[in-house]
Parts: sequence; C-alpha cells; structure tokens
Amino acid sequence: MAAVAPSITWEEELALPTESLSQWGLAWRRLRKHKLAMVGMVVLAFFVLISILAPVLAPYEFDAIDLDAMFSFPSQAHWFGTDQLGRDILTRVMYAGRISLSVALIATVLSSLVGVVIGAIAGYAGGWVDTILMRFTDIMLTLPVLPLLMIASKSLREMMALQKIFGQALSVVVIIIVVVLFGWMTVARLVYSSVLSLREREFMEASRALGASGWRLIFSHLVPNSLAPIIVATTLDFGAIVVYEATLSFLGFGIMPPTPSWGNMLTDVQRFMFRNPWLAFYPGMCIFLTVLAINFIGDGLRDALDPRLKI
Amino acid sequence: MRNFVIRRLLQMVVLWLFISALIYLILNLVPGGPFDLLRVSNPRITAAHIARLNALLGLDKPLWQRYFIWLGKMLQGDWSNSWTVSVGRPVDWLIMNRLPYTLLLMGSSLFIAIGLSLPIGVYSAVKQYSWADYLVTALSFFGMSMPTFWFGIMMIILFAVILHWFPAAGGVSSPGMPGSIVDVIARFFTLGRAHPEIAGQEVVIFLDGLKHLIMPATVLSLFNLASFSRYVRSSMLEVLRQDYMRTARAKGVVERLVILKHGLRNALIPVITVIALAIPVLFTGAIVTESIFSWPGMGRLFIDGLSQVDWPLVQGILVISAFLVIFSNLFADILYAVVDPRIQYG
Repeated sequence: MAAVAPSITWEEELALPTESLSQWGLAWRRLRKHKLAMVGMVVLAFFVLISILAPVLAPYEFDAIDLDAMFSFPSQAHWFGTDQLGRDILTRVMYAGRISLSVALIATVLSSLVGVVIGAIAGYAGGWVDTILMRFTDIMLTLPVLPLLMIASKSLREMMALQKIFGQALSVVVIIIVVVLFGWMTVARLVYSSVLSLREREFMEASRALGASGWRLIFSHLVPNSLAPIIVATTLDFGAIVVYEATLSFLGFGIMPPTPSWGNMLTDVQRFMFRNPWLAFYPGMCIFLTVLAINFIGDGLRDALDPRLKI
Repeated sequence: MRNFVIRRLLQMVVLWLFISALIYLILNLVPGGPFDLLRVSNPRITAAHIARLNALLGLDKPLWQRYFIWLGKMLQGDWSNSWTVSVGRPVDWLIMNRLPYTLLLMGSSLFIAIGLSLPIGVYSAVKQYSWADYLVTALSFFGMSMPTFWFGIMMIILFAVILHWFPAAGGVSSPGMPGSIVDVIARFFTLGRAHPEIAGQEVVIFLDGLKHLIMPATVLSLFNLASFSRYVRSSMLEVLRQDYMRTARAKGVVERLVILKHGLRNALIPVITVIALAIPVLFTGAIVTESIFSWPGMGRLFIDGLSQVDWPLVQGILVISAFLVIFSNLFADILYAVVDPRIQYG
C-alpha cells in the first residue's frame, strides 16, 4: 500500500489557526455576510439611537405648541414640518419612537417568554396537558387578532383598579398586556415541536439518569437547544408587534395622547390631509423602515441560524 | 371522508361555542354599560332608574345566565337589539346590511392577491436568481413590512388628493346613485328580482362602485399578495426539483405544460393552507381598511360598536366573523384532501 503523501507537513499544520467557533460564532459569521440583514441592523440601530437620544437631539419640546406655525411644510426651522398645533413633527417622531420601540420590545420579549413556557411545558409534559395547551394555542391562532386586541385593550383601560395604579401610563401598560395575551402562539408552537423532537434524544436521557428535575430538563436543556428558531420567530414577531401597536394606536385603542407614538401621530391625519399631506408621511415612514429593517434582520437570522428553514 | 367532515363539523361547533363564550366574557368584564352617557347627561337620574333600565335589558341577571339567554335567543334567530349605535334596531339587520360590503371587499382583495401572486410566484421560481426574481423578493419584503393603514392613507393622498383618480372614501358617489354595487350584485344573482328600483342603471352603479372599491381592495390585498408570492415561489422551487418534472420533460411535454400542469398543480397544495390561514388576517385588515376608506362594511360597524359600548352589536359581528373564519378553515381542510389524494382522513 502506497503511503499517501500528507498534503501539509506537521509544522505547517501547527501553524494553522486552530481556534474553533461555537455555534453562535458560526451563525454570527453567516449573518455578517447577509447584506440585507446588516443594512437592517444599521437602520434599526439608527432608530434606536435617535429614540434614546431624543431629549438631547430634538430641536423642540415634543408638546410645545406654536400656533404661529401650524401646518408648516418641511422647512429649515422644521425639517419635517409641523402639525395642526404647530408642534414639530421631527421632535414628535423622535419621542414617539421611544414609546413605540420600547413598547414593542417589551411586549415581544414578554410574549416570547410566555410562548416558550407554554410550548415547553406542553411538549415536555405530554398527555392531557399537551392536548389542552396545544388545542388552546391552535384556537388562538385561528382567531382574528386585531378585534380581540381592541376589545381587550378597551376593557382593560376602563378598569378602575388599573387606572388608579398606572394613571397616565395606563394605555402603555395595557397595550403591552394585550399584545402579550394574544401574541405568544407562534413561539409556543415552535418550542412545542422542537421540544417534541428533542425530548427523546440521548442527552435528555443522560441528564434524566443523572437525576435532573423536570424544570431543569426543560429550562437548561430543552429550551437552550431550541433557541435558534425562537430567536428567529421573536425577531419577526417584533416587526409584527410594531405594526400592531401602531394600528391599535391609530384606531384609538392603543397608546393615547398626550403620549406620542408613531401610530397615534397618524390618527387625525386624514382630517388634515388636504391642508398638509406631509403630516402622514414621516411617522408612517418610521414604522415602515423599522419593520422592514426588522424583517431583513429576521431573514438574515433565519439563514444564519437555521439553514433548513424556508421562506 | 364523510366521517372526517362530520368530525370536523362537530369540532367547529365546539370551537365556535368556546369563542362566543370567550367574547361574551371579555366584553362583559368591561365596567360601564349602555346607560353611561345617560347618567352623565341627566344629573337627576338615580341608581334606581338605572337599575330599572338595566333590568329592561336583562342586565340584572348574573353573567353566566345572561350568556345562555343570549346564546339561546341567538340560535333561534333573535340577535337582540343594538344598545347605542342604532338604538333598538335588531343587530342581525344591522350586520346583514353591512356584511355584503365586507365580503365584497375581502373577496376582491383575495382575488387580486391570488390572481397576481400565482404568475409572480411561478415566474420568479422558474427564473430563480434573475433580476426579476430579486425584484419580486424585494417587493414582497416591502409589502410585508408596510403597515396597512399607512399604505391606505398614502394611497388616498396620492390617488385621491393629488391625482383625483379615485374617490377618497365611501362605497357610493352620493348623491346621485340610487343604489350601490352590492345591490347590483344582488340583482344579478336573483336574476333581476331584487332591487327593482335600480333597473336600467346597473352598469353605471356597478362602475361607480368599482371605482370606490379598487383602492381599498388593493390596499387590503398588499400583505397577502406579498406573502402568497413568497409561498408560491418557494413551493414551486421545491416542486421544480422533483423527479417527475424531469420525467415529464423526458416524455417530451412542452415546457409550458410541464410548469403549469405538472409543477404548479403540485405546488398549489401547500399554498391552499396559507390562503385559508390568511382569512383571519383579512378580517383584521378589513377593519383597518374600512375605517380608512369609510367603506360601509362590518369593520366600521365594529369600531363604532366598540367605542359606543354596544355589546350586542359587537358580539354579533364577532360571532359572525368567528363563524366565517372557522368555516374557511374547514373548507381549506376539505379542499386539501380533494387536491391531494395522498392525504387520508379516517
């Protein structure tokens, strides 16, 4: 048998980089190659930064009324123009971004947590717990969400007890609660199916043999191993929730004035569109660009984390 | 198959009952009632008066009793009367006046979405990685990221305020139109028996209605158009790789037929589910679209009812919507079995 000549000598082999990449390192490397996702990250970072720095950057106060400058078109003094009370749109868009983005972020994280817990419990427990929880999830998935969000938001907002606790911030708290109530199902489904496929693997058997408790099995073995699809779904949910919040606030069932949000800035816009069509442009553009950026990131994450997933 | 349909029908009833109870419960947890405004505007009204008025509407009974009374009456066709939006009018009458408009809007938007997404999806799959494919992908991202209500407002500003191509709002040009597009359609399907008052003017009314319909239907279809195209594309890509496609080509079938008959027909199977799942999304979108375009459908009635504490009306609308959504799911399941003979139902 002829000796196979080594393609490189052992000295050369030693000189090769041997640093190994973790699963997440690999994913990050793949994500960095995804151009749209990187663009999305830059755009989203820009919006986040602007929102955080709003008090520093904003040229005016967000509720400063200037009746001498009602409905001004975009100009040097007011880059994005002013609204029906002469309030600076640029300033309001910045402050609204704070509210819209933070509300969506909190709601997304909480609803994902709920989804993870429900999906993991259903998948791990099996039996009647599984049946009840997943039937319920399926039912919730078939319901038209928006009308229910509107009803829930209306009913919660009228509750005296809640009004006393939260005061002005009530509409913000309520929208987070209702979005969490009706937004956990996608993640729950994903975690459920992922847990079902992981449950019988060897590493589960091993840790069960070592005497790990049910909770430990779920939260330190099953959930971390299904993290990739959870992250992708959560990112895409984030975009959807930004739109839901904006839609609810636009219709008057979400964040209420005087707190500005991108959605409620558009509420009265139709009454004034003949005076100044620009009023409608900027807040909507912010929503659109944010959601587009998030969807790009989500797409990139999906390619990076789970190459088998499609669409 | 018959057993499957029967079992699904039973499930459907249970699901519908569950949803109706859920809706009833959430709504009636809201503090306040139909006489809030009365109380504010009449300082001399006493708690005794309010109690009597509440008793009149049956609001003095415990919640669970009220639910069963409401359910029982509704199953017998009595949907109770509107509290505030149109005081004393039967809810079913109010809804039935508006439902055709919503169905027309949803139907035309679904028609646009399916009609355009099939050729778009197939084309971009067949020409994968061409510039047209990239364009479609980019546009579908835009479509899926666009908030419906903002897109609607921008359309109105562009096509109604600036260009004056289409009317900004409503379902008919008033005054001047003796009827609406829905009446024309009703007349068509009853072979001219319904709405004799519009005889001879059908074409004018229909075209006028179409002019009002085109913008809301387009706006409502955008999201579905974008997502359907993506699904058709990826499902088609999946199918194009199959062996039977090569076999068909080897037999000498014309490429067009290979794509359309062997490819598309198989690619459509998963797409059907996606379309069925889009029905709840359509309802959501219809509420938003109707409120922006003042389209006289159920969605606007819903918003009115909700902001004016008209629970019988809101319940009625939700129960109807839930029924339609559940029914479309069942329909999709059956259709699924019909188009894919591999699926067995026991």
